[in-house]
Amino acid sequence: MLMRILLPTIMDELNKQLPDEVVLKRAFKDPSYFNLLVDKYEAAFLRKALGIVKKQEEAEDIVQETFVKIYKYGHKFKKEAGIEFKSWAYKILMNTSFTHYQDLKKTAGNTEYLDPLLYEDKPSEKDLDLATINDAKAAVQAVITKMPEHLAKVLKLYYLEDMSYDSICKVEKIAITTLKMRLFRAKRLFQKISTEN
Amino acid sequence: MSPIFKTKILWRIYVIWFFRRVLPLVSAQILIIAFALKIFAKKVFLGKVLENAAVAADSSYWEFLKYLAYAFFSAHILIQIIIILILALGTLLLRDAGRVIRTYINTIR
Repeated sequence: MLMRILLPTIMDELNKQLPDEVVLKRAFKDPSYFNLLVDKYEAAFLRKALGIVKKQEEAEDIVQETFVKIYKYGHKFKKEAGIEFKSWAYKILMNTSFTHYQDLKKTAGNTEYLDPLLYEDKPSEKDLDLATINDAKAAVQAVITKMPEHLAKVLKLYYLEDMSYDSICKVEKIAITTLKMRLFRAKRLFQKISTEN
Repeated sequence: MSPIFKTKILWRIYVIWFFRRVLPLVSAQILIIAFALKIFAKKVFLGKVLENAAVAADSSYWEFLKYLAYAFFSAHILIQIIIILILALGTLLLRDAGRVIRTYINTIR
């Protein structure tokens, strides 16, 4: 009897310690594992989505869509150096948020939901995650033309052409650390230019 | 966080899982069983078998089981294979049905 009560709790605790990509892989066979990912990320995703669209229902729709996309396209995710599950998931969240925001703009005309602070966000320790960079392709394209070529190019390849770190390193013939540094500098410059405009 | 919100997400995940992993498998199993049953119905006069089984069942359970074994072993090899196939796929189908229910309970609990 005691084992019946304790075993699921112990198993839950053990499962919580698994890396996200392992949990996702197991969720393909048994979707109950996806509970762990939802528990782990739903609050953070909702906060992030609420920062973009200002309505709770819209944010919930975005988060729901994001989780569905994570599950649907999870088999495409491959863990590589510098690419964590978290960054990948946040990238999906940001893309979904902006697509949703664009759709909202189309249907609601001039309604302004987008938080202007989003573009002025200083990169904190937590936000150094590259995937949390703003992914509005149109806005990026406009600002990118004002940036030095070597920084603009990596930003373009990563955010507009969705190339992986490895592919960019090969194209640019640079090390992954150099790429990360360039992306970081490019991101900072991007923020500076976009706030000046 | 609202439990309804989480349930909505998990329900959609469950539906994707069902369509991806369960539906193709179960459909294939049902198709094969239907095909096997069709051949079985063509080759075996099931009404007569059941009639004889009822007569055997009247004497005792042992006689009934003996009749079933006798009927199976005296059937053509193709019929034997089809019976085994139907039983095996039927078991797999039941297992999958159980898995669908169990996974539903575990996912959306």
